[in-house]
Amino acid sequence: MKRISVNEITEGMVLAKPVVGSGGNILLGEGTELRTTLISRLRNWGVPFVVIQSQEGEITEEKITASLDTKRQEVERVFEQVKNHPLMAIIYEATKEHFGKAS
Amino acid sequence: MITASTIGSQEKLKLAVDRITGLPTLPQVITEITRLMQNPRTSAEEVGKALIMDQALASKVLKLVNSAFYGFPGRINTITHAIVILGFNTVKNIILTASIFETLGGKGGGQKEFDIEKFWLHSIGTGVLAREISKKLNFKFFEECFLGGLLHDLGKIILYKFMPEEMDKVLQVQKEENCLFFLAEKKALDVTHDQIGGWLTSKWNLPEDLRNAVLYHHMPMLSGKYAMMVSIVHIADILCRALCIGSGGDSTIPVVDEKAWEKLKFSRQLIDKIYSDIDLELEKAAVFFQIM
Ligand SMILES: [Fe+2]
Ligand SMILES: [Fe+2]
Repeated sequence: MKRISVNEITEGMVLAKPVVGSGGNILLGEGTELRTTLISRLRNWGVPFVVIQSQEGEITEEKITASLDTKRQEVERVFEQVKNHPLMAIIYEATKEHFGKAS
Repeated sequence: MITASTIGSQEKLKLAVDRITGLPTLPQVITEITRLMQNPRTSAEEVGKALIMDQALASKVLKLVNSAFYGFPGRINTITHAIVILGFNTVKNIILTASIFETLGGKGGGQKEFDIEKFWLHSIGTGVLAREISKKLNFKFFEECFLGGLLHDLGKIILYKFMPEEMDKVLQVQKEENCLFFLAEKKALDVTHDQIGGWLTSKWNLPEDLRNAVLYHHMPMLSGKYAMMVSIVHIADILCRALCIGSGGDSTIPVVDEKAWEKLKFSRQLIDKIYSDIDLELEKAAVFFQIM
């Protein structure tokens, strides 16, 4: 899936996550195929962006923000040689906490 | 002062880059647009007209201005309209960004051992982080910082695409010693990617702040009056590695320059603030992979 601006929607894209209104109500459900009328409706609602299903081979947000478990292990490896440096220790702690929080 | 050793390193750089063949140039319209934008009396229409001479580039620029990454409300259909709404400077930076992807993007040619997809993730991630840092510091050149981050490792893509033999040697040393890519280059070639990238920014006539960001991203305090922007790029590179976004060819992290840290008044609180918005910004940056 990937998050795109309403301006980037082209006909036939499919929602990977529902579009939720300001009151928490679902305006368009997951799996909705976006046709011209729906695209203009999204614009009228003032929805800034939507999450759509990605096509094969595309680089998407899953790749950019790889799974957290992998990241936690990678952080340890990346900092192995430098975490005794006082400033690097600050970055190390902040990064570890960031990945901890995101779960 | 020029010492014997700096002459030596300049010569080595020259020897290395002289062997490059088939190096691309930036799209021709870039020269024309830069010239037009230097003249304060140039109109938005003139720039728009110049850009549509290169249809492929123009469509990439429009895709970017309408993306969530730049986040401008409403649909922008023409370059002229983009300039009116966003201003010359922002549009100039977006055109430059699009032309970098046009010229160097894509997966074609190069060493299989070097993961080019991860390289672009590292470059885009560093750009996004540099932009976030500058926003948090109220440093107004945040689009320039994005470009500086995006391009900081320019020399590596030149090695990858146009210097395959040299790249082979570097990758081998890096693998054997599990060291920083920079140190592997020093050992294998005695020429490093910051030098190669800096050389190309001159050849391409890129702006001076960008040239400094590329040339001094490992030694930000050498960049004189550009030290603010270059320090931002330097720390963005380190945070990008900390967050494990892509890879620039190694899996370790250089120690942060203490003077750069002081210059930006960096702190744990600031890192937390930057990290709190970074995932959303990175998601939006997926658009760059669509224009490659
Ligand atoms: Fe570098
Ligand atoms: Fe880097």
